[in-house]
Amino acid sequence: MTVSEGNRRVGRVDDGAAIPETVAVKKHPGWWVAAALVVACLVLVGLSLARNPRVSWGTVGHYLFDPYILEGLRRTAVLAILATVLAVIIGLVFGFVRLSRNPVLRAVGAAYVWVFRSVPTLIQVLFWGNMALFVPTISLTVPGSDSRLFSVPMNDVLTPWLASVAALAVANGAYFAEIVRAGVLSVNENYHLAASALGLNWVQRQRKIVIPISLRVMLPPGGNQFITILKETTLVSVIGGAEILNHAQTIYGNNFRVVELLMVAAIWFLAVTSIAYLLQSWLERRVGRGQTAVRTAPRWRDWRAALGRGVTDPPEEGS
Amino acid sequence: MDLVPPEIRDKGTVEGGSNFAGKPIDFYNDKHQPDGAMMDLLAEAAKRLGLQIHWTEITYSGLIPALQSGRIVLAGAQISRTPENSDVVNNFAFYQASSSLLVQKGTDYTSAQDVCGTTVGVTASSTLDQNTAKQINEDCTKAGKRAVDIRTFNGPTAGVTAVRSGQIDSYLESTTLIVTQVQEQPSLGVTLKAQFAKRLTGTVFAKSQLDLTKAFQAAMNQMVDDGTYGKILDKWQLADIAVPKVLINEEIDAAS
Repeated sequence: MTVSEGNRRVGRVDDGAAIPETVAVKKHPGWWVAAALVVACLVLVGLSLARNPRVSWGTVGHYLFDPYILEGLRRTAVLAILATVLAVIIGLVFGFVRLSRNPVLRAVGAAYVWVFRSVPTLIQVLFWGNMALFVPTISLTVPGSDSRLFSVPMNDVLTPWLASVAALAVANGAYFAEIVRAGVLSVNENYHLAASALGLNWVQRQRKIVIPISLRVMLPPGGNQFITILKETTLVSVIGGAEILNHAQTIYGNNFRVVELLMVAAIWFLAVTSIAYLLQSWLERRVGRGQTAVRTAPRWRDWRAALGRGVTDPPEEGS
Repeated sequence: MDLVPPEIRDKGTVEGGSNFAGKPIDFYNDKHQPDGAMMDLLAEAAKRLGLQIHWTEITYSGLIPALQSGRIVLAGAQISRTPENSDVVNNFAFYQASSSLLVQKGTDYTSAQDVCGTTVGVTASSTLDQNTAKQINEDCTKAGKRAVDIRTFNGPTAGVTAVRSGQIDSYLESTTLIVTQVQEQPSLGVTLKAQFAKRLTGTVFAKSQLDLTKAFQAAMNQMVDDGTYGKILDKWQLADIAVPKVLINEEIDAAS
């Protein structure tokens, strides 16, 4: 084999001859033009927003770090994280229930996913917030007698905050169940068989073999779902669940600076979801260690390559 | 005679709910605490009964469901008596109100006929304003003019924003609310001021709390007589909404 001129990196193959690992990259001058046009448009949109006399940016800045807004942000974060943890647990249970060989279990799992994915989360939030309309009290009676072991009013148990957590967890658990099911199905049948041959029981098989392998498949949609939950926390403002949008509404109900306070909430959501996105990329890379590189977010060298600097990825393992 | 039910007397607190979007009647002040003329009047009446009101935030359309489910026993947002709600709550009328149209500054209508063919916003669950809007619409159709496009919003704030952005031509709301909005936002105006739905209004109690409603009525009538009622309304510059007597349920129909 011959070595072509102008290539920087050179590797070796079995026969000892050097071959290029990087081929000349095609130049794309048109990309520069397109990129410049898009950037120009973005700058124009940004300028018109910044100069809009109807939006008082001073007010936005004033309320961005307002303690009441930050308290709302904290509540949003706690609500999202708690709901996600519960939704993942629900998803794990129902994901496996849907794959069960027991037809009754399978039907129950399918029904859960069907109902809670079909009914809009906003309606579910309203149901949870007004649960006492259907079930005024929670009580436990001794079967066959009238004596009650305990009885408490539903409204004392299901506070708006608890109703918010429950609504978001149960609604999103249905999506996590599908993510878990997809992950488990992505594991080749042979792995299950091999694990059985090693004498592992069902729980050990899932814990040691199936879940670790399928985690790579489940992480991208899982992270996506977390971001969805973060944004869905705003829905609980309709049942008086305190979070950042509710706190912003409280302030604009008094000073009528509606657009500015919505902007404040939007800026915080951008910040929080960006952090979630970075965390997800990091997790994906960590879980993908030792396996074929999983592409996550575009990295700097991808940009450089795209713009024709002629740098491509180093050879991947096994290539 | 003590009308306060024993279970409420024992607790000493009454659970109340409001959307707190009705400055100067009910809203959150700078310290994010419930405030407004209604909060002050109800708090004073409760104090005279040896009670305190604990407020929770609930959307306007969620108030009656919350009263029915027992989450709250008292609403703290302006709810007028309508044929629709008189069966499910106890009406409590302690001031008078009317509706006006909130518009962008510069818009001026001379009569309700000018509203024909425009887009009018109303608050979801505000049956009274919705009925008024429907009435305007019927009058337009009868006069052979173009119909009114009625749009529903979650609360007055959403509607006011829609007027500012030009999404709708006007928003039909309680006059006191609109006047406050116009005072604070120079880009807005009011037209056909106090031309619609003049009525005795106030708030509502849960259907099961007729005795408590009567207890609040007695306490607030006492406030009217000793001048406390007038002082509170003066504080909010709302002397013009005062009534001589607090009325409940059928008494409101008889007086209207």
